[in-house]
Amino acid sequence: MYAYFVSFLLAIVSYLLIDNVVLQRFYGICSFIGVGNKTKSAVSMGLAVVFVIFFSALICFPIYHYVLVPAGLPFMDTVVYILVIASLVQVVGLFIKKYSPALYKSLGIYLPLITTNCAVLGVVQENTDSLLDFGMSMANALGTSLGYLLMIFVFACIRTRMEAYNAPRAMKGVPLALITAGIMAMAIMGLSGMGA
Amino acid sequence: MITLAGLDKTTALIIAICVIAFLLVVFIVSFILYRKTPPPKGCEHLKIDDGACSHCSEVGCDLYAIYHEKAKDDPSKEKKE
Repeated sequence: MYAYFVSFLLAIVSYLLIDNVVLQRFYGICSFIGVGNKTKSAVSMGLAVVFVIFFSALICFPIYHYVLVPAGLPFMDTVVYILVIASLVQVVGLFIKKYSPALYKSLGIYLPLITTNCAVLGVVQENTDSLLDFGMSMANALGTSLGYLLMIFVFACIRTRMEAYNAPRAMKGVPLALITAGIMAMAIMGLSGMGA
Repeated sequence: MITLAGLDKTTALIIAICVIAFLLVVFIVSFILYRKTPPPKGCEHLKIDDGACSHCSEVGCDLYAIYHEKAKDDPSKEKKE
């Protein structure tokens, strides 16, 4: 039990930093570049992604292993995952819209953006493709989503500071953001020897 | 936990199809309810975030149509896509 707990924590750290979802696996780049220009928006988006990834992994795991596989329909996994993710985002959006105006104000426009975030589908798909057990699937979901939150926050902080610099006109905006993301990816790559 | 492993193939298949149909119904109902629920007071006109909206392909979002109508008038916004 203790050994499993240690490997659970190590898996979270690994997915958070070493095998980062954005900078190593290149999922969710679209929203990373699009929303990562303001710190507040980036944190809101990151928190929403954490919520959706965790709950979609929690729901999709039993559906795949206890419904689709015994019925001989594992090839339907992507369709089912998309349905679960889209429904989850709609239901969460519905509750936020109805009961939490403050949260709706800060997350409102980012909720639909999560449905099209490939990081969410990527994590759920990876859990089944890699034949991870339930604990490790949750570690993947937690580590990956927190990794997304961390990187989008750091990226937004860097971009906010860069706006003050007098960069050439052709490099302003997305070009400089892509170069920054590349340098961040190289920095994260330096951690890949930690496991050895 | 209840699994379908002990059931025969046909029954497991029927249950799986029912689960998929249920998910589809949940999605459709939640989509309709989400569209019908009015936004809370003070949030009727959420501000468009150029960075987020230019990269978003969610056509069901209210802001999608508003952003792309504005982008038609302002060619500099259209370039971002």
